[in-house]
Amino acid sequence: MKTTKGDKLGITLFLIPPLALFALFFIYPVSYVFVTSFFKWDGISDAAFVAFQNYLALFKDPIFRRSVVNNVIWALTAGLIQVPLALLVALILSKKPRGWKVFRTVYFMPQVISGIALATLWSTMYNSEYGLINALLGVVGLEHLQKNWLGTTQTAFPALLIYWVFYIGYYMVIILAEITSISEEYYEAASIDGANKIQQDLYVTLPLVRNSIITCITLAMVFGLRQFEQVYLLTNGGPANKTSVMVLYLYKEMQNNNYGYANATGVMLIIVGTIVIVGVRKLFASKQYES
Amino acid sequence: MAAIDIKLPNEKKTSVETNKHLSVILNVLKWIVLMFFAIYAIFPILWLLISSFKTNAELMSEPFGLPAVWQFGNYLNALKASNLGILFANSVFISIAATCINIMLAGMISYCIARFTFKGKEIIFVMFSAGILVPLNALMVPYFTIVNKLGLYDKHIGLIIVYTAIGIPVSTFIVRGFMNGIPREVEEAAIIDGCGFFKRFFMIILPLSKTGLVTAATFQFLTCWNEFVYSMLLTSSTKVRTIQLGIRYFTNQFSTDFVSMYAAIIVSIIPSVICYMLFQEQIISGLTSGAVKG
Amino acid sequence: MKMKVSLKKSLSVLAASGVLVSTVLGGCAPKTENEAVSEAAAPKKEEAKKEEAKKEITINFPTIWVGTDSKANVISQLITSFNEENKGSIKVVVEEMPDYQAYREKTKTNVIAGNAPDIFTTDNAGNTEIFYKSGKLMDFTPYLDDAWKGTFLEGTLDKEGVYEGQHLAIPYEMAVLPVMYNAKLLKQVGYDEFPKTYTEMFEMFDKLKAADLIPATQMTGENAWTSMLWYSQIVTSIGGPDVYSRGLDDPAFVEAAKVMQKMFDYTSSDAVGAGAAVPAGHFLNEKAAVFMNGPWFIGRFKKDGVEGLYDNVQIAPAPYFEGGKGQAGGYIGTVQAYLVAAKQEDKAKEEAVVKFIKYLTDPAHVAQLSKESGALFYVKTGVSDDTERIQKAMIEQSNAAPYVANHFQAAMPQKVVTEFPQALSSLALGESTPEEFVELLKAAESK
Repeated sequence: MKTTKGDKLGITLFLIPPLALFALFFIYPVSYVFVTSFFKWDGISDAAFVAFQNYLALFKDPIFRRSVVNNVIWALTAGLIQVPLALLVALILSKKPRGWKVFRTVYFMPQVISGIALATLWSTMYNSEYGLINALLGVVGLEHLQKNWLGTTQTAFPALLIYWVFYIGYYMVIILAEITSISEEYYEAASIDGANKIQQDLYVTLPLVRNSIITCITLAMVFGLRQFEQVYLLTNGGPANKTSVMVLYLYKEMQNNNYGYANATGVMLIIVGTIVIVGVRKLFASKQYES
Repeated sequence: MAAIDIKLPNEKKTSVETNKHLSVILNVLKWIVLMFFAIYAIFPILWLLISSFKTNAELMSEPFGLPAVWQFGNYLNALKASNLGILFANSVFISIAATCINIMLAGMISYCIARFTFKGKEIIFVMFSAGILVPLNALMVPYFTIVNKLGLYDKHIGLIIVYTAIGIPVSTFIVRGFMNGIPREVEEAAIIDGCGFFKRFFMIILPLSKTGLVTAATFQFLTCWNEFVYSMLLTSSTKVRTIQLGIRYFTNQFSTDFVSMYAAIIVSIIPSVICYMLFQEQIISGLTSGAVKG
Repeated sequence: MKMKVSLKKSLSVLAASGVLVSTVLGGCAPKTENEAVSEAAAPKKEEAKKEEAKKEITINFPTIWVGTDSKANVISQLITSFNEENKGSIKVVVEEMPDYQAYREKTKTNVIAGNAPDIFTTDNAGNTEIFYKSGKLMDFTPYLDDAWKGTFLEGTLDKEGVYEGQHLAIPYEMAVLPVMYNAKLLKQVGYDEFPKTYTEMFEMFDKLKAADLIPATQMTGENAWTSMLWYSQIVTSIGGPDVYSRGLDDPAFVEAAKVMQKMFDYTSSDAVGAGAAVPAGHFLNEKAAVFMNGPWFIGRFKKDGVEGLYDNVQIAPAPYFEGGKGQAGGYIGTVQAYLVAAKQEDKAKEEAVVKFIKYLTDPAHVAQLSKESGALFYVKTGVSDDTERIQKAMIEQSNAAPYVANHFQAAMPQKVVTEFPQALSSLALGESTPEEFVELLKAAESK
């Protein structure tokens, strides 16, 4: 395809507004974060240049290392469990079973309620004195499994992940929209070949919605890496920092007026995140049909 | 149209009998899955709704019970105390404006990155991808300074610009992915027909990447709707603030009036759920009728 | 054929926008070498314009005392009447900030960005130090004549809010944090009053536990507020009221951790990880016998407690630790809110700000505020017959106390305060010994 003179002009005009905003709200502030990450700085006094000392301190801090591990686990759970679940539900709904429109709306509803509401609900669910989970365990005779779910070292982090992994609405809607836009002709062709519904899903639908799935997986992982609100509201990183994540770690250092160090955490988040995402894209790259 | 290879294995024809059993089991499984996720998704809303009619004392002693007396007063509290109407209108205006501008800009840049080759393209793509991961919590001081110096503090447009900007990396990421998938031939045909840069963008590429645009727009809208930190940082008066302030209105230094807060949340989600239901119909029908892909 | 579109144009535009960015944001780069941000920010410029036009002075006052806060009504009335009295010359404009965490973040960001609000409040935590150091705060020294000073409790103004010889903050709201107990539940196990020593208290706890009650509430979620208060009581009782000044190496911190560990044997099963709403709920529902909190909680006994709870609540000083350096009757308390103001260029505005702060600290207004909200203040108001009984007891007990020591959160560096809930949950779960608990705090301090 030839790029004409008109194209050049068009590209220039199209790039200016988004790049200008990006420069103002990302490049400038992130360079600010980057530069200050080499300083010891409380936000107000003179900053002292400490070279890589903040980064070294980060690597040495077991809480930071645990935060990174937690984030990576979160990202993998999101990409490899949450999105496939969303895909499964989207495939079922795409067959338009009875009431599918209602289901579609219901699945999406948790996305519009405030994060505070979800967090208070689930901390109440997991509570050991009056929580519903322990009550249900009691009903089925599993009293010995009852515990303070968010206040026990072994269960706190899994409890956070598990309640959250089933909120699939956003990804389900994306994938469903893409499936619905597939032309009927493909399915007609496939059924002439004698493919049953499941085979149609596997060999017709999946390849055609690959773009959506990859987008969802990447997004889900990004949100896993940036996860903050639910952890902050439900456990604040506790008990004993077992559920800490990178943004929470950063946030606490900002509370401590330890800005240089907090910003080093921010830089590390961008680096770790880029590695994870590039890794995922590499994994799918061979299959992606880039023209 | 580019033909897509449908690879079917040879052992595709299964016996009718197994098919029957299988389809019964699958049918049951299907409904289990659908109901599980439906209950899981509806549960928080139901709990919120019931809790919003309790007293705080009831909520604390029996969080999963029914209220002894249904406290409709909580809704009066929510509506009266927090200027919910203005805040809601602001949220709608700011979120819609920021979503439209954001999607337009993301569409423009994605078109350039996805459909053309030029110097610096890779750098732009890498920068934008890294932008997705920037922890916005760390940018409070620079954002406040920028908005203040631009004279946009406590103005709708200030929040709109900030929200537009913070969503650009994610939106671009999503939209670019979909634009990449549009076959080159479609555009080439248009060039032969004499379509210029802008016409191809508006008439061909945008309609074909509708799913991507809607996906990005949904996400962008939710981000704007739920954003709290910057909506408080960059505004000071009720006439500019968003619904999130209304929800936080029942929190104070020492305690939270949860039942009134839940009432405020319910009030604030009812219109968005209705909008979503109406809007989604449009989107889906638009998508199916415009399906010329592949 | 591979075609390339030169990015020259776009790049030059990007560069131009970069220039724009740097001009617009001239003073916003990270300050490395004492490069103070001195540009007048936008809102201030507007005010300057207004001033020229001889219009009224506008004072912005972002505050948490709005919404459901117990002080909201009176504060709002005070502002309205102040604005009426000064119509045409001064106008106080309130910015509502109900969420405390957001308030702290916003005021800190404002000050760091060189744009402090005209009047705001701060507590005794890490932010205040940043505010003092910023050089952006107004010095009240010239205005603190004997008449104004005399309205405050003896000695508080010499001690609180003073930084490098300047009065940068006016102590306003006071927190005293006694033991609150449910007399009905204590009576059930045979106690008419709260035990005087920790040994006796644990004996009582055994009986309460045997009666299937939660002896005392604890929490390690959020900032571990009520448990932090208990730890403060214990550590000052063992190490004396000046224990914090000796630092974490003082053995009292380990000794207190041992007692604290025991406290977790006498609490609810959900204490680890619990946020403030959880212990409050247990006490308000008469499931827990002992609770610790400040005067602002009094209103909730009636509003959110079970039927008759308010009449059962009594308060007492925390127990005395035998062999400790503290004394019986010792109290915990701190400045809950300081009034602070931005340094003003314009003398007339400075005076207007002071006028409003004097209005807020006026004894008659404070008395009204205290009566309606239950909160206590550093302004002398005296106890009258219609003072609420629990509040009255707090005033009397804290006046009679041999000392009112700071609590841990106010006395320790912010880094230690942030780590405290995590270290405490580790201690409560038995993951750390008391010695290791203190080591965790020390590690945070040296970060």
